[in-house]
Order: sequence, then structure tokens, then C-alpha cells
Amino acid sequence: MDTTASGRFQFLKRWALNLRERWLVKQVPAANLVSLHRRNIFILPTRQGMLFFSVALIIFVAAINYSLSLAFALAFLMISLFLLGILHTFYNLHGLQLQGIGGEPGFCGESGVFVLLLQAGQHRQHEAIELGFPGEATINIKLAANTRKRVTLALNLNKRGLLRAPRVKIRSVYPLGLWQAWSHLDLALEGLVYPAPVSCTPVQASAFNRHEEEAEEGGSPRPGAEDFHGLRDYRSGDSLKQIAWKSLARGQGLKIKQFVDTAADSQILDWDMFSGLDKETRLSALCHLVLQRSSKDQATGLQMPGLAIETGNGPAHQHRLLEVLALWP
Amino acid sequence: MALINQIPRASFFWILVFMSMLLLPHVARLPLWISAFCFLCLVWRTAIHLDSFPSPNSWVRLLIILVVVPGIFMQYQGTAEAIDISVSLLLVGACLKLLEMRDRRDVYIVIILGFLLLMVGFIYSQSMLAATYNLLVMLVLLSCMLSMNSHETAPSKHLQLASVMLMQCAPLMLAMFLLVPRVAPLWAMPLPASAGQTGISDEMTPGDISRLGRSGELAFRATFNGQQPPNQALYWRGLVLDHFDGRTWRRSRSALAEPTQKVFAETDPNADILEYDIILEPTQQPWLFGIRMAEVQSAGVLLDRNGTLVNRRPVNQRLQYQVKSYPAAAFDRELSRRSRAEALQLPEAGNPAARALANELRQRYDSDLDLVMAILQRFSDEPFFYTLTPPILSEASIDDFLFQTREGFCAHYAGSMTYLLRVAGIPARVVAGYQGGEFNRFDDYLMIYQYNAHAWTEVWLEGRGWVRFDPTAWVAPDRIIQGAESFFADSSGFLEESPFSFLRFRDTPWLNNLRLRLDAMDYAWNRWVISYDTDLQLQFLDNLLGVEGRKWGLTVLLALLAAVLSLVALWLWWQRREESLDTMERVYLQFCRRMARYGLARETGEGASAYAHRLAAALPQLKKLLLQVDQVVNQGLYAAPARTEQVKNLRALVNQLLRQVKANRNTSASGA
Repeated sequence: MDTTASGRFQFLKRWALNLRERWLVKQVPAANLVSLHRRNIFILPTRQGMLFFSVALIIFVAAINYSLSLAFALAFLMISLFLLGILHTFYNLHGLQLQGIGGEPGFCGESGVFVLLLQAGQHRQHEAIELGFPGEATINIKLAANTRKRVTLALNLNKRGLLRAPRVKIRSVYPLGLWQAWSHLDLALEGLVYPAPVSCTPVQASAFNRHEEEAEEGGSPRPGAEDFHGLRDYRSGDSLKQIAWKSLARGQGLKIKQFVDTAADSQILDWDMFSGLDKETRLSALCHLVLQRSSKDQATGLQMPGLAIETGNGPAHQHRLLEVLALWP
Repeated sequence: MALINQIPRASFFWILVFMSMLLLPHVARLPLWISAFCFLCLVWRTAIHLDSFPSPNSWVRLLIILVVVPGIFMQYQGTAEAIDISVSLLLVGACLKLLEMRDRRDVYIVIILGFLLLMVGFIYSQSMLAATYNLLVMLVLLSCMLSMNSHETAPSKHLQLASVMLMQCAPLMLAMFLLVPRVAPLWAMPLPASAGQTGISDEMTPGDISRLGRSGELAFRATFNGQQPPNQALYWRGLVLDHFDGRTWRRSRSALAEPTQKVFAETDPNADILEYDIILEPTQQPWLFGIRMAEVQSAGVLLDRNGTLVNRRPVNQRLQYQVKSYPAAAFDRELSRRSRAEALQLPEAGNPAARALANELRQRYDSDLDLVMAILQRFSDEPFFYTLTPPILSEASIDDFLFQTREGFCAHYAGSMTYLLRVAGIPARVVAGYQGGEFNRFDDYLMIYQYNAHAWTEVWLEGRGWVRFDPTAWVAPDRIIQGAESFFADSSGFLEESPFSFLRFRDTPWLNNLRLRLDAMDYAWNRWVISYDTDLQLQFLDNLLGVEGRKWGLTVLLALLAAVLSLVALWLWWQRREESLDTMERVYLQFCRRMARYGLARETGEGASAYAHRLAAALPQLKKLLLQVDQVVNQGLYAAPARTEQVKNLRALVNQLLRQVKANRNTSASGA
């Protein structure tokens, strides 16, 4: 019984949200740069505003019953203040320009950051402006006349890929808190969401099949970073970090510490390393490996079905790899 | 969100200020323990704020409520002081809310209670002082609301903005005050406990009116439309005292609550008519004052059988009423049997000497008028003295006064004269009221003080009806001609009960002028603000629009409203027009839509430049124009505020571009 009721309710709610969204798209179309004006600012009394107005009416009735001129004056003053509040609150948002700068890439499941540029109207300062994505933390800022401010908004990233940010809610109850003026703006903000990094044990067998040359070498462990495997002679070009300084001190000559990743010891991360798992988990696992390798400054490449990226280092390269993973269809 | 839900520090300051300000005027009126409790709550709240004392938990709060609320009801048990109870409850409630105040909503509840307390305060006093004080409280309440919603922390800034907002409200508030129709009370409301009756009471034992002579309090003010009669004609009738029990004159029960028809239907049309406005100070009693043969056109005012004005409810706030008086009209040319009996009522026995005197006079004079004149002559010729501090009289008070002490004031003379006449068989009665008044030249009105209280006699004469005779005028003519204040000025007892009254400095010209000016201000305040009602509203509209105009009043009002709304709309449009940015956007979006028709829609989120380059790639022959459009758009939308020429430029470019695109398309279509 309960479930059917809530089900029906859910349907209605979805329908209403859908309707609102369609109306908003018409009323407040998506644009990278929006200035707030009469048509995209909405205004309604707050709960406190309703209370204030009701009390003004109560005072009005009392003034009638007691024939109190000054109580009439008080009631009228309160009603005037209430009405004046509309103008003040409206003009606190009016003329404000918002420009979507873009989203900084983030990992799925974490909180992402989107950047906006706010430009105050001429000769008009904007007090106590609340900004935020719906259901997310909001920020409250003040903007002096003729100034700009860069603000960052947090958004929970819950889907891998190119995320189109939801509408930004901008709201203000300044000055009396009796009215709230707000707008839902689609600032065409887009941000890249990488897969959530998840550590997985690669499936050995499949890795074997892919790397036949290595398999011919006798299945020796591939050099990696995880576990200490042994020492070998120094060859020119080896990293100084891997020199075994202790054995050098013992007079055993220049040796190189050899590490192995038990399986993921290749410089090329391969889509098939995790075959058998579902797509998202594979992407997450690859993401984890990319991060792990770049944190150790190891050259990394990526081999996806129909796409290969040669090994490389540095943040730009890491971003390139992660972007591929993020946008993987 | 969490941050904004906290109460800003500045708000605490404002809350404490306005709570103290709201508490202050009620301290004198409230029981001591309630004031003390409220004060304690304020201190506690401050301590909580300074982290030196914990906030009460829910058990403590419940305990406080269980003790305080029944305490209030017990305090006021048995009294019908509903207003006092509600003030106490509102104050205590606000103070308790203060203790448990956690978030914004709590603050707003305290603020709302503050507004209600302001309103209740007006039930007690609507003086200019109270209004000014409450305006200040209002300013603080607004400052508190501002501090709740602003990044600004300096209280002076809040106060500044609050003042600006109040000033912005003023025109609208004033218009509503003047124009919103005033309706009659919807239902009866409890009123605050009377502060004790003042003014003339409905019984007169010689001695009472002397007490009033010692008071410099204002009784009422009167403004005449037209010529103001001379001082000796200003007999303000209050009530008729026609029942004597040997010591005290009272209002007879039969006259009570017996509204009558108009008594003076026979008025001579040529007779003098006095028209005047009276603003009566609260007396907690129902009688109103007016010159002989008064008529009041108001539903709340009755005329009793004796021609005195009675309000339906005790006057517990200042009351303004308009009176028409016919001083020369005959009153009760025929006396009913019952009225006659009432006007001759006397105790069975007592005052033998006075009775003997009356009988002797009756034998000497046939004519009633002659007898009356003989008594007055006697007061004038024999050594009678007028004083505010008469000796105490024994049981046979009238004998004592007439033959022994011979010192007294109006009550003594009016009482004994009426007694003598009644013994002689002439219908007579005592009338209590006020006599004279002080003229305020700054606003042309009369101020009548309690020391103007007076009593005189009315005698019924065959063929003439009730005629006024004032024995005091025969004993001390200056009291009537010059007025009480100059007559009494030096006598002992005068203003004894008002030691700090301004009236004492009547002889210092600048202080006296200051007193008159202050009173004129207060009078104007009462007349135009406090007493502003339907009548004054109509009068105001008449003055504003003319009597003809008033008929069109509603139309005019609607037209005014429409004009104001159009002005606001115009203003908003003007604001919009200045920002041609929107126009620019519109032209550009229109362009995008047109391009979409050719299958080159702008992707959502695609920047203007990116789009332009994509278009240029698709339509290479139009590259130059497209990039030009892009340049203008970038200048207009992103760089400086758009100018009208820029919009024009863009529009021209877009039109040119669209024409070319169309032409291209046609040629390519025909080519294919």
C-alpha cells in the first residue's frame, strides 16, 4: 500500500520536475554568460516574510478593533516594508552577471569544483548572494559595485564522462529576509569526470596472452615498482633512485634494485589486464594504475581496443590517459 | 548553509537593545517580579552569548514555563485585565525564546513578538512621545533584521540602512494611512485596566470639585468653527445632579441609560448656533461635555433626558467629537410630572434654618424669577467668600454654610441655592461641568483644565424652561469673567496636586509660550493623527479633491494607483533599456536560431567564437563576415557594456550574413 502510494507520488514528482525543467529551459535558456534581469529572476516571500505579513494583518485588525490610529500606522508601515522588500531583494540580484568558466576535472564519487566569474552591475553592490548547485553546499558572498569575483562551487561527481553541470541556484534574501529572489541558471558548465580509482588485481592469464614476447622469455616477472625482486648490474640510463646505495657502500659495485609488480609490471597498461570484469570496474582499475604510476613518476602508456597511447610522463600525459578513460564509451 | 543559519554577532547586540527598549515602557505597569524575570532573562542571554553561562536545557525551560505562566494568571486573577495579561505573556514569551534562540527562525520569532509588543504598547499610550519612542524601537528591529541578512557587521551601517528603508516606506505608509478606509470595530475588545477615574464624578459632596481645583491636568480641548464665545458664556455642561440626600448631590437613577429624542425640536432657526470640536482626555467615565443644548452626530453618543451627552462606553482613550450647540433654545418648556417630582426631590428633614429662609422668601415673592434673584442678591450682598480651602461643614451642611461659615466654592453655592429653591417649590438642579478655558493663540483653540471644573444651578421657569443661574458669578464675578487661572493664581490650594506643572510658570512669558506651543503640537497630533477616522478621512478627501471630486473619489484613486503602477513599470523598462546587453543577446540568439535552420545549430555550451569558427569552416566563402559578427558579439557581450550602435552594427551584419547564406544556399540548390 505504502509503496504504491509513494510510487505514484514519485511519478508525480518526476513529472513536475520534468515540467519545471522544460519551462526553465524556455525561460532561462542555457548560456555561458547570463546577466540577471526581470525575466530570469523569480521572487517569492520567505516563510519569515509570510509570518511578517500575517502579523501586519493581525495588527491591522487589532487597530480596527481598538480604533488605534498609531496601530494603523504600524500595520501600514509593516505592509510598506514588506512591499519595499520586493524591490530591495530584486535589485540585489538585478544586473549581476555570471559567466561559467568551467569545471576542473575530478574523480567519480568525489566532489568536483566548478568555476564561475561574477561581475557586479554598475553602481550596484550585491550583498549576501548565495550560490550553489541544488542539494550541494552553498557559498555566500558579497560583491562590491563594478568588481569581479571568481567563485568555485562544489558538485558531487557521480557519473564518469563529460559532465554537464546542473543549473546553478543563485539566491538572495537580502536585506530583510522577507523575500527570496532566486534564479536557476544553466551556465553551460562542463567538467570531465574520471573513473573512480579502484585497486584491482589484474587477471594474469589474459595479460600473458597479450604479451607474447614476454611470455617467450620464460614468464619471468616483469619489472615493476611494487615488490623488491633482486639486484642487477647498472646500465647507463637507469634512474638514480633505483641505485642500491647500501651495496655500493659494501663495495659490491654499482647495482640497481629491481622491483616487480607481480602482474602490472608493464609500462603499457592494457584494457585486457582486467578482462572478465565489467567495463566500469576495468576503467576504475586502469585509472588507479595510471595514478599509481604517475605518482611514482613512471612512464605509462595505455592500450585500449582500437586505441593506443605510447608511454609518457608528466601531468599533461596523465590527464590525456585519464581523459581517454573518462570518455570511454 | 550552516554558516548562514547561525545568528550573526551583530544581531545579538540588536536583539538585546530592542528587548530592553520594549521592556522599558512596561516596567512601571507590570508586577515587579515579571519585570525582574524579563531582566534576568536578558542578563542570562548575554551570559550565554559571552560563554560564561550555559543555555537552559529543555527541563529547565519547561520548569520556567510551568512556574511563570501560571504565575502570570494568578497575578491577574479576578481582574479583567486581558491586555495586561497579554503584555506579560508576550514579554515573558519573547524572553524565554531569547534563552533558547539557536537559529535564524528563532530570531525572527523574537522580532515578530517585538512588533506585536509595539502594537500593544499603543493601547496604553498614543502620545507623540510614545510614537517617537516606538519609531526608534522599529528602527532597531529593522537593524536587527538587516544584521541577520548582511555581511555588514557594523551596527551603524545597519542603522543607516534601516533609516533609509523607513524613509522609503514613508510615502506609501502615509498614503495608506490617509486613504485606506477606516472600518468600525469588528468586535468588542478588552481594554487595559483603568488608571483610575479622573475628572468630574457623578456625585458632588462639597469638597470634590475643590480637589479638581488643585489639579493642572488637561480635561479637554475645544476648537470653534467661527467666532468663539466670550469666557462667561463657556459653561460646559457635564452631568445633571438632581438627587440630594442631605449631604451629597447625585445623578438620579432614572436619567441613566435613557436616550431621548432631540429635546430642542422647537429651535428658532435664527438662533445662534455654536459649532465646535472637542478632544476629551480619557476619564474612564461616560459623560461628554458641551455647551447648553448640545447635539452630537455620532452613533456612539446619546443624549439623556437632562440634555447631557453620554458616551456608550467609558472614555478610556482620547475621544474626539463634533458638537452643535443651540445656547438660546428653550429647554423643556413643559415639565413632565415625573421630571417635576425629580426636580423638587429633597430629604424629609434637615437644615431647618435653610428651610425657614426658603419659606420666608416664598411668602415674600410670588414670581419664581424674583425669588431666584433674591437668593443671588443675598449671596452678593451678605459677606460670602469664595475660597478653594473652605472650612469643614457639620451634618447640617447647608445651614452651616449659609449661616455660619459662609466660605466655599461653586459646589457650596450651587448646592445651597438649589436646596433653597426646591424647598420653595421651584424645580431646580445642580449641573456639574467646566467653566471657561484658556485660549491657545498658536493654534486657535481652548484648553480646559481640571481646575476649570465648576458647578452651577439650573432653574425651571414657567414658559422659559430650564434657565442657568450661576451663584458663583454673584459671589466672585472675576472667577467667571477672567477665568479660573487668573482668579485662583495666588490662592492657596490651587495646583497643589501638580507641583511641577508648567502652569505654575504662567508669569514667565517665554516659558508660558513654550507651554502653549507644546500643547498646540500635542493638540495637532491628537487632532490629525490619533483622532484620524472616517470623518476626517472624508474631510481630507474633500479638501484634496473637492466635494464634487469625492464623488469620483474611487475613480480618482484607481487612476492614481494606475498612474503609480505605470510609473514603476516605465521605470523598470527604462532600467532595462539602458542595458542593451540583453538586446545584443537577443539579436545573437536570433542569428543562432536562423543558422540552426540551415542545419548549423549552435551546440549547447558552445562558445560564440568556437561556433563562429565552426560556421566559417562550413561556409568558407562567408568567413570574413562570420568573424566580424563574432568580433562584435565578443565586444558587446564580454568586454564593455554594449552600446546602442554596437547592437545596430550587429543587427546589420547579421542581416547581411543571413541574406548571403540564403543566396548561397539557393545557388547551391539550383547548381545541384
